[in-house]
Amino acid sequence: MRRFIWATSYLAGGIAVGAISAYVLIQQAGVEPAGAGTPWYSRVAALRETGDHYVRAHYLLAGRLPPVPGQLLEATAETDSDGRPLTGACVYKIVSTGDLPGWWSISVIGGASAYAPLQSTAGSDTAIRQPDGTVEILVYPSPRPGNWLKSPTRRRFTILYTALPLSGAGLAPAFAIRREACL
Amino acid sequence: MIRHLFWIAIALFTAVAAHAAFALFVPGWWFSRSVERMAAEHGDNRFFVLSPEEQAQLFPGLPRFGVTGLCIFDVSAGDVTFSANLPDGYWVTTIYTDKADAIYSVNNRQSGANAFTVSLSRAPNLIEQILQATDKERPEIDSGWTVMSPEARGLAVVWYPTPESGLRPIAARAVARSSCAAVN
Repeated sequence: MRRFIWATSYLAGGIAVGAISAYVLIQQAGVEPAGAGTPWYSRVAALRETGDHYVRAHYLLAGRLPPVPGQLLEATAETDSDGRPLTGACVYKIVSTGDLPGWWSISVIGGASAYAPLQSTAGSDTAIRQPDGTVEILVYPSPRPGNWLKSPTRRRFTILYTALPLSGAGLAPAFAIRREACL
Repeated sequence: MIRHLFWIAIALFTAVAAHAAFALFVPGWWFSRSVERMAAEHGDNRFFVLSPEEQAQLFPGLPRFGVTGLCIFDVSAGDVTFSANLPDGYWVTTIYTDKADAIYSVNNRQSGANAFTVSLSRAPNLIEQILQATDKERPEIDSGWTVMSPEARGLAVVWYPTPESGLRPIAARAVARSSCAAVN
C-alpha cells in the first residue's frame, strides 16, 4: 500500500511539473522588447521569425487568433518609459516620438494582462494632433480635455498598442509613456 | 535508494511526456472548442459579423468598434468559396486553420480590389501528392485565388476598422455583403 502511494505521488508530481512548466513556457514564449529603451513588449517578432509553437499556443490557450506579421503590429506596455509599473494612482502622458502609421490604436486595459477588460481607446482617426503634428494622450481616471484615456483607479493596468506596420520602421511603437504626477 | 532513483526517473519521464502532451495538444484542443461553439451558433460555411464581445475574445488587441467578419469553413466534404465584398478603406482578410496557423493574408492594397473570391480546398496529404504526381489527369485549378488548407476546418477572417463606434453598424452592414458557401 505504501509503495502504491509512493508510485502514485511520483507519477502525479511528474504530470503536474510537466503540465505547469508547459503552461509557464507558453505564457512567456516570444515576449520580446519591441525596441531598445522603450516600455513596449511584443510577440510579433517571434511570430514572424520562427512561427514558434509555444508562441502560437499562447494565443490558442487564450482562445484568440494571433496577429498576422506584416499586417498588424501589437505591443503592450506594463511600465512607463522609466520602467515604473503603470498604476491608476498616477497620471501619464503618452507622447508620439516619431512618424506614426496610417492607422494606430492605443487602449488602456484594466489589469496586468492584455485580456483584462478594456477601459478606453484612442486612435489615429479620432486623436487630436498638436500644431507640430505630434500626438499627446493623457491617461487619467476622469475625463480631460483633448486626447484622453480612462485609467482604472488605484490598480495596475496595461497599455495596448495596435497598428498597421510602418514601412522602414521597427516594431516599437513611436510612443513614449511619461509619468506626470501621482494622485 | 535505488528504488527511489527508479521512481525519480519515472517521474522525470512522466514530466517530459506531460509537458509535450500539454504543449502539443491542449492549446489546439482548447481553441477548437471555441471554434466549435461559434460554428454551433452561426453554422459552418456561413459568413457572419462578430458581436463586439465575440470580437474582443478573438482579437482583444483590436478596437471594439472595428468590424470583424468570420466564416468557419469546413472543406472535408468539398471546396468552399469565400466571396469578399468589402467597403472602401483599410481591411485585412486572413485565412487561418483551426490551429490558428495563418495560411493566407491580404489587405486592401495588396488585393487592389474590394471584391474578390478565394477558393478554399483541402491540401492533399503526402500519399495524395505522390498519387497526383504520377497521375496524368490533374484537377483543374480555379482561375481565382485558391488556398489549400492542411486542416479540414479553418476560419476566414475579415477585419475592417472604423473610426468611431457610431459608424460600426454601417460598416457591419457593408462587410456583411461578403459570403461563404460550399461548392456543390
